[in-house]
Amino acid sequence: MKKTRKATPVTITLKRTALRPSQLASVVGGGKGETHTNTPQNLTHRVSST
Amino acid sequence: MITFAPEIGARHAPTRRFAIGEREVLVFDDLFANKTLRVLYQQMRASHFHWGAYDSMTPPDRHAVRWRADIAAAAAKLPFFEDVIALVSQITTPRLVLDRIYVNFNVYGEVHHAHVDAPDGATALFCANLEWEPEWQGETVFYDGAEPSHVVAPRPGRLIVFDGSLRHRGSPPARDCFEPRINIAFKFQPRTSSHKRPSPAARVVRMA
Repeated sequence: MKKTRKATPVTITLKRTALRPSQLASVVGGGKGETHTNTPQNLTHRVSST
Repeated sequence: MITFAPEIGARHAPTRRFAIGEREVLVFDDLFANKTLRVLYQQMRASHFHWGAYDSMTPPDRHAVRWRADIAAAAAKLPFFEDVIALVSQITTPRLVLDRIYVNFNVYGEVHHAHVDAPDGATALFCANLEWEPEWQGETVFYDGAEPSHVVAPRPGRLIVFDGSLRHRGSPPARDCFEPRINIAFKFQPRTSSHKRPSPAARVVRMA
């Protein structure tokens, strides 16, 4: 009988270091105008197809 | 097409996992400490959002504008953000690289359209709300072709990781919900993408 090999589980390693407000404040906010949720490559595709 | 690790160790195993065709959605809960969740919520709630996010460039979507805030690339080295990026990196084949991070601030009355994020990429959506009642709605809906087929509810601290080629949409909070639906979106692309990132000017899409 042929044996099936079971996949080895991937172990997710997280640091789980506490996030400080000052750290977050330095990276959040603003924007550069109108944007959409597609990635640039999809944007390129959509532009070229219209 | 990307694939996710078929088996994930019990310590951080997904609480829910499903496939639409061969493309998967993984849901993780309780990955982060309450202190980090509080910092994320309080900061996001107080941040400046800009009016101008929409689902895609197709005409109907471009009229469904919403609030959004960008997160600087430097965030990738901060706690929480580096963990989300590491998680996606550890479970995804082929390896992907982070393209961008931003925050959605969704309120009652919005319209969300189904769309695809990235044909060869992945998306991670983190629910940054500290509380969310089931009646408040705001679910993420995944499609099988033209039909909605799977729904994932917002839950504080929940991370949804999915194949970027899956058609999906968000949904607004219910009328009797006075909290914004706040989610942090991480977009990943292939490491060896042949597509060059357009200049910032080219990425700004003007409304018709």
